[in-house]
Parts: sequence; structure tokens; C-alpha cells
Amino acid sequence: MLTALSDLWHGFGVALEPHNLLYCFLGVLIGQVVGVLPGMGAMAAISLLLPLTFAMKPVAAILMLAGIFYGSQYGGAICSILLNLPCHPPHAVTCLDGYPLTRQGKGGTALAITMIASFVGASFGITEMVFFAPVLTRVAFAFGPAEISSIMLLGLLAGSTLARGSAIKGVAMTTLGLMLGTVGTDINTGSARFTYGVLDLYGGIEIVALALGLFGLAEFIKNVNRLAPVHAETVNVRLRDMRPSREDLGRSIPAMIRGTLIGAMCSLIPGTGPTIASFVSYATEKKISRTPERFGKGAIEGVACPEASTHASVQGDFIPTMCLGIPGDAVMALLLGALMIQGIAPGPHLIKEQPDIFWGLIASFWIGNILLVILNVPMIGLWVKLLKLPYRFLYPAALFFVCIGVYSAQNSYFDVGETIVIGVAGYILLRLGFHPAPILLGFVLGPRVEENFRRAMLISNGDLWYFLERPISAAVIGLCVLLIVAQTVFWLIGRHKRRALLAPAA
Amino acid sequence: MLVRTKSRREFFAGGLIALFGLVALLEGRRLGTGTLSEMGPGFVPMALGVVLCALGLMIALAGQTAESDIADSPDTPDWRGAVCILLGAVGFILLGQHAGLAPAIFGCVFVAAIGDRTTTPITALALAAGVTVFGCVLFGLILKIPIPLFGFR
Repeated sequence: MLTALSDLWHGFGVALEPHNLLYCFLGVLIGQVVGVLPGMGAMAAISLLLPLTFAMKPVAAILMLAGIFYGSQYGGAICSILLNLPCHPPHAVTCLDGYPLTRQGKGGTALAITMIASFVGASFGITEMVFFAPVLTRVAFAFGPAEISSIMLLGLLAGSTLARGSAIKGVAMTTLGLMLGTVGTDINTGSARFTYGVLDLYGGIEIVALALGLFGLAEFIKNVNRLAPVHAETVNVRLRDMRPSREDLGRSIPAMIRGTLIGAMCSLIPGTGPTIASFVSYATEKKISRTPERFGKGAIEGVACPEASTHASVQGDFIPTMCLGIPGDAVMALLLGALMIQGIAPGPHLIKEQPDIFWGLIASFWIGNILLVILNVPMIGLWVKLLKLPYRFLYPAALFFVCIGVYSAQNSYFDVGETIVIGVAGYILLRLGFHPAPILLGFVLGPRVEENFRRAMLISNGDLWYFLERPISAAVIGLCVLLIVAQTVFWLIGRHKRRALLAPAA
Repeated sequence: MLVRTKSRREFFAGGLIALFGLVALLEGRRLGTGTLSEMGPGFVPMALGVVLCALGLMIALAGQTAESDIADSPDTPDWRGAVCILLGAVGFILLGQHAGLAPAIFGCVFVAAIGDRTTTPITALALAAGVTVFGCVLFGLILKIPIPLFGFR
């Protein structure tokens, strides 16, 4: 307990170093901007800046990239409350009550409550990380390759089945990601896999090219001429509109606390990121409310509670990523990729060997969240103006940033071509109803799953029962099975219901 | 009608995944799988291939989608926009290699911009010019990426 606090103190020292502070500020600022802009995402922004961080110190790099992630959550709230556009999946629920509030002229209040809820949620998530991470790390030291492979399997399964859309398609995307992760020279045997004689592929697929193809190019193709222009006259928020009334606060504060707790719990289950947390907390809030009919028509609790839980789980998501080296979703996978490019092996050793990174990152979360509140409240007018920037000016400029971003990762035009191919493939996958985000999860974890699986098989002399003989590994495998069974049951129930709905019509 | 296009889409979706699986199976066989205690380089691709083929079949045969998939997946592509965006990226590669950074930025942004049906050529020119100036200053002068502003290496 006390060591955690003194370590945190050390972290603040690291995060407050002028140049780290600058990069943290830069990160949250960029995150805020891409969060506000409709049609832009945190994934694209993080992958764009990834090549720039190669030359930076690891601490500064990770502070900045993480800042983009949580910064975009603040910015995205503005977009979804004022325009009813959920630019980021967790905000889909915030729209339900946020937009009706805007139409009643209470958009400013909704934004203010959002900011407070975000800060409360984030603070709790960070606290959870401070005290829980060292405990988890201590446990994780006992893990051998069998445990690590099993936990990775659970992470992959959970990350792909609990995300949006059909579970089986999610698993297919993760598996595809694992396959893409094997492209290039195999580290164990030296043979080239899936390269088909193309020399540029021997080093594997460039992570920046993959991320920007899927989340940049494919999204541009999907949105061009399709994104409706913003009706400028409906949104106008000034600072003095933002002060919430006592009644609003009275309604929101208990909702915030409940949302925070739900978010914090969700973040501990691998694979349940902010999106699930926000949906669960909204549903709970509606269920326990004495006036559930107000929800969807502008209930302030309906804004406060999902926002608090989103932010609690956004911060909590860093726990498995940093302690076990197992990312919960695509954004975390990308951040992990950034660490690995810097030559830092993620896992339980990270906290001990790189205390500057771990504790500096946690301290920077707090600083970053305070910066975001400062950025958002007085400058709300500016962000509302930015909201009106049309997509037709945005995407050509963004395309150039994608091209130059991919090029500068390795100074290679081949990677830009790779992005084009991946972008087209990503669009086809979107069109066929896949969500490509789990591909990145599989891609980053793939090589490490293979390495640990191989090691486990070497130790056990090729005996697959080895995974069930070790208690922790067996428990985790049991969870995997439970997950699959539960998903199948839900699917069957859902199919039964759909059949029942269709039957009278036919 | 709606139901039929939906299940046909699922059929293609499953087929595509199975196709990826087949590619992995072939590559796995070429590399050699080895045994569990002594895995060859092809073991993991082979295993992934089997999983992908199975998943592909399941998707194609299940033929039903969650509602959120339908809501999120795009309609028929906007061909003008799509082609312009791709040409813009190709233009960046070609012009970057043979003409330099400034023409590459200008070409990329201009071609992509005219993909929008409401953008006039004049606005596209202005946008391209603006981004070119900004990009040359940021990437050429400040970050010093190894592409000359004009001409080739």
C-alpha cells in the first residue's frame, strides 16, 4: 500500500518533467481534436503518430500515445451529445440521452455533467490501477508458458466475442489477425512464411500499415460522400450554458458513482472494454431508476452514468495490458506494439524494470485528465466550431497524413502500397459485416502466443494435457470453454426469438 | 428480399474466411508442420487454417447476422470516392518516388478531394495547395523525412 503511494510519487516526478509534460499535453490535445472531428478515430490518430515516436524516449512516447486514447474519449462525447454522432463506439449510449438534452437546449449542461462524470470515472480507474496492478504482477510472476498461452487465448476469445457484432465473426477476425502476425521470417526456425518471394515481407507486415489500412483508408472509403453534413445552426454552446443546476447535480452524482463502479469492474474482465461497460451501466441505471420512462428523452443520469463507466474502464483497461502484456482491445494492442517497438518487453517484469514507464504513465493519466477538463470547459466554443469542419476537407488531408505516416515508419513506399491493399481488404470485410478491430489484437498477440505455446509444448514434450494439469492454466481454459458455451446458448436463444418474430409474418 | 441479400452476404463472408483458411493450410503444408513436441514452421499456419476454414463454414451456413452488423456495415460503395481515394494514395507513392515531396502531397490531396461530389476543382486546388505548404514545412523542413521537396534521390 505505502510502496504503491511512494512509487506513485516517483511517477509524478517523471510525468512532471517538462518534456514529458509537453508530450502528455500534446497527446491529449490531439486526442481531443480527433475525438471531436466526425469520422476520425483514436486508432487512426495513434497509428499515425506511432512512427514519430520511434525516435522519442519510451516514457514520452507512451505518455503521448495513451493521452491520445483517453483524450479522444472526452472529444467524442462532444460529438455525440451535440450531433447525435457516436464517433466512438462507447458513446453510442451517451447519444441516447445526450442528444435529446441538446434539443431541449440543455446541451451545455449535458457536456458539463459529462466532463465531471469522466473525471470521476477516470480518477477511480487510475486508483484501481495503482493498487491492483502490483498485486496482479506478483501473481503473474508465477506464470509459466502454459499459463501465459491460456490467458492469451482467453484474452483473444473475450476480445473478439464480447466486442460489437456477431461473436463468430469476431473470432474469425482475431484468427485472421493471428495469421497476419505469422507473415515474415519465423523467429524459431528462420523459414519465411506467407512471403511468396517478396523480400519486403520478410520483416513481417508493418503494424502502422495494418492499423492505418483498416482504420484509416477503409474508413475513408466507407464515409466518403456518405457522411451527412453537419447542421451548423443546431449547435451553439457557450461557457455560461454549461453550469449544471443543483437538481441536475443531485440526479447525476449517484449515477456517476454507480457508473464508475460498473466500469471499474468491467475493466478487470479481459476483453470487456469501455463499450460494454457503458452499455451495461446504462441498462442498470434505467432498471433501478424510479422514472425509467425519462430515459431516451433527455435524462441527465443517462449521460452521467455511461460516461463515468467508460472512463473508469478506459483507465482500467491498462491494467492487464501493462501487468500481463495482454491487451484487452485493439487500442491497447497498438499501445503494446509501441512499447515493443521501443524494445520494452511487456509483462510482469515491466513494473519492476521500467518503473518510470509504469508509474509515470499512471501519474500522467491524472495530469492528462486535469488538462482535458481545462481544455474542454473554457474552450468549449472552439471545439463546437471544430465540429462544423466538413468531412470533404478532412479526408483528403487525412489521407496524406496516412500516406506519410506509413512511409515514415520505415521510409518505405512498399509499406504505403501495403496500406492500400489492406485498406481495400478492410473495406470488403466491413461490407461483409465484419468489425476489423480484433484483427489488430490477433496481430500483436500472434507471435507471442506462438512462442509461448511452443515453449509449453517443448516443456511438456508435446502433451496437450499439460494445459489442464496446471491449476491456473486449467481454470483459465475452463473460463474459455464457459465463454464459448455461453455465447452459443445466447445465440441459440436469440435465434429462437427471431424465428418466433418471423413466424407470424410468414 | 432483405432476408435473401442478407444470407447471401453471409455466404460470401464465410467463403472469404474459408479462402483465407485455405491459403494458410497450403502454406502450412509447404512449410511442414512437424509434431507437437517438435513443431515445424508450418504448425501454427496449419492450425490457424483449420480454424479459419471451420469458422468460414459456420458463418456461411448460419446465414444470420446480429442487428448491429447490419447497421454498421456500409451500403454499396461510392465508386467515385473510393477510386479517387485509392488513386490519391497510389499517386503519393509514384510522385513521391519520381517527383518529390511537394508534388506527392499536392497530387494525393487533390485527387482524393475531387472524390467528394460536392467539392469543386477550385476548392480541391485550394485545399491541396494549403496541405502541401503545411506538409512541406512540417515533414520536409521540421521533421526532415528523407524525401526531397522536388526531384528524386
